[in-house]
Amino acid sequence: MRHYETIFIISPELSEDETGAVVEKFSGILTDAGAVMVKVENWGRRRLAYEVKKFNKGYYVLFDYGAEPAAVTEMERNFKIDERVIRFLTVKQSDEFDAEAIKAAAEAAREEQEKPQDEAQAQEEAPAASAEEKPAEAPQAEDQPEQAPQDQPEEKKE
Amino acid sequence: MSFRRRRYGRRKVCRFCADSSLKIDYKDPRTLRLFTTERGKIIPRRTSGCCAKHQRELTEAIKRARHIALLPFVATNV
Repeated sequence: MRHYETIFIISPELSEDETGAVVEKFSGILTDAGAVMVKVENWGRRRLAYEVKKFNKGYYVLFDYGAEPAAVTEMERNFKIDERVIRFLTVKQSDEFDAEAIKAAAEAAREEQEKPQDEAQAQEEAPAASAEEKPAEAPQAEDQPEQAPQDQPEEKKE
Repeated sequence: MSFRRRRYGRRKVCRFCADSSLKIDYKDPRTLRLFTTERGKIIPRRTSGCCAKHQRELTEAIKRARHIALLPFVATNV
């Protein structure tokens, strides 16, 4: 089993039920081929950075799963056939797949995300006071390198 | 004299090396956008200051993001 991640874009013209059906269909294809789904994320309708098949918007769906390579090729074959899917991208995350380890890592990451936010806020506030002096010096050093005290004398000798 | 070698006093440091909480992810167009020009080109290493390893990851991520239409190949309406 390998750990994969697939993002695909569904046509924005479909109703919610229809998009749901498309997501079901492809997650079904994967699970039928023996894949283990870790998570399915619906990013919803988003603006595309450029036109794809004459659409300016698209419904993004993210699959995170472990599967055999054959399951992925089967799904991608179906992506190509299905006209409701306008774009897809599969990325291999790693060669081994361990559902529990991934879940644990995801939870750890979530906890970490919550904590550093408080710390980051505290850090941002703290340097703000002491940083007032530094930026005043820094631009000088950049504009007028001759005044940079440490490196300059040696180079002048050369 | 020396101004050819030291135009700017400070050497740029790779942002991803300096801040380990900053991750390169092709699903995060907001961060990636910092490393593209207004036109959508990837900013070169000599400008962005990234180390080779992270610049490689960055280009890969930007190219993936372009493929799934999170980032433009060319931004025309600038």
